[in-house]
Amino acid sequence: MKHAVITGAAHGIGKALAHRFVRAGYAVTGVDVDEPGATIAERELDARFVVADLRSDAGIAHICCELASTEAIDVLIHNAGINAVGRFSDVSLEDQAQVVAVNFCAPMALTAGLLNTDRFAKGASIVFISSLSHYTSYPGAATYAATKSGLASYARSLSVALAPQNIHVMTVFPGATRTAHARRYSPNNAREEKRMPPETLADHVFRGVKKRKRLLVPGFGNRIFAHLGKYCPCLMEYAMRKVILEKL
Amino acid sequence: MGKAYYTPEGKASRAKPALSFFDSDMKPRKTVLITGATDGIGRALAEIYQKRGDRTVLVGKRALDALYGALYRKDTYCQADLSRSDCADRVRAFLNAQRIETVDLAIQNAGIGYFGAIADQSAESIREIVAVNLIAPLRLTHALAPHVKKANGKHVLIGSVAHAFPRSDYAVYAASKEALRVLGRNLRVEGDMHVQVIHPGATRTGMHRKIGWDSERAKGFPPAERVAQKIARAIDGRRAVVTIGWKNAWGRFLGRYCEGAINNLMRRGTM
Repeated sequence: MKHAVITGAAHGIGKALAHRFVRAGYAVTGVDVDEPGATIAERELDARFVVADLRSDAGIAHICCELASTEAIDVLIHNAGINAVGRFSDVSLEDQAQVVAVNFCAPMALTAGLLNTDRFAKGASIVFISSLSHYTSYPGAATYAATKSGLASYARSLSVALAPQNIHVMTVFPGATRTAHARRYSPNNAREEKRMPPETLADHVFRGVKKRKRLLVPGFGNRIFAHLGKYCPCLMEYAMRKVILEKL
Repeated sequence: MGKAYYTPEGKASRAKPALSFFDSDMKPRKTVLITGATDGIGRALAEIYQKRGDRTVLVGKRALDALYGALYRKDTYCQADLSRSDCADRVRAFLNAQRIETVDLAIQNAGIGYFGAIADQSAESIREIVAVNLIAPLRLTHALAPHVKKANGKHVLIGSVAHAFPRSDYAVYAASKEALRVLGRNLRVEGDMHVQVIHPGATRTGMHRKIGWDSERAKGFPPAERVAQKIARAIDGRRAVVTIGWKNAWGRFLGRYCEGAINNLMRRGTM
């Protein structure tokens, strides 16, 4: 039985991913900080959960320790993420530091720790959930965008560094997804039904892992946005300012 | 032919215009804050601005007694460890103590690296690099924003061209610089402050020695003084994103827009 580890698996995209991998016959280990949420998801999914706080080194060490005795990891998905929205000067520094700790430091520390103890199976996949903001900019969440792009850069380095070991690294750049996370942080939820359902995203990720894709921008519309943002950055920056920042 | 002067309306005139406050000899001294100013590019930048007659505020980790040279005095040097959470408070306290209310240029230059395999890097090392290269700029941008705004000044973030390439032996450094670049980009789009991001290439500084990088190769890099000259010139200009050196500029362009091809090349190199 193959083993998938998913961080932030008690809610949103992480939960959808856990469902998808359980359905495909994987043994899933979820990681989440929310204990009641983890208990519910554990029962619902028939998965194992590790309750740990990704913000602290102790939490990372706890996860590494818990994973030391399980079977080797075939798929590791760094999905856990938090956000802090508002104009840069208005958002409290502590919130921003936490965004950096969860979105940026934790995936890097966890990956290094698990590589160091050789916990990956042959031909394993490591998946990083970045954000479409890597291409389009995201005014109103500067720190969030910075961490997600930093993560994409780390994944890129990792995909080169781990090529000799045949470990596959994939970076996913999802756009707006229909989750509680997005509802909490976006200025306008009137068009929520237009957002991609997390189940669809999980399906894309699963297929990406199977095909061993390196970059994944799920959804046709998101792909257009990514190309526009990459080749006409000013246009996208203007649009994002109009759509997001001025409505905050 | 005598020298022609131009009036503000664009008409040529023979009469020398009255000196305004700004182009007289009494040019107002700018206040320039530089982090990581005890070594390498930061030190060279500090020398440039000192020579121009600007008031410098130098931030560094070392104690004042351990530094030599006329640059570092009690009224110009602020000791603050940027990996700690109290760094911004220390800088703010220093500015208050020196009665500095405006900062024209806040140059966030401090950076640390790590050289070695990804699997060997400890969680503490990762956290320290992120603390200095990303969280300290966040803290200082918050702390200095009112000072810079008052002077209608500019925040300058010193990135690195390393962000445009996959770096298997200093992945966290490259990632932190990429994060810094994107932070600068989004702050610029938000439009509340002037932010400039400058990407120097590899430079002959103490950083390579500190992180145990092959110092023989580092000897071929341009010296910090020359790079700092170019950075100062870029800061005088108005471009929001500047890469130092045309080779680096091309490299950065290729690294970003031919991502797949570059990755494949480097993958073959590591095999």
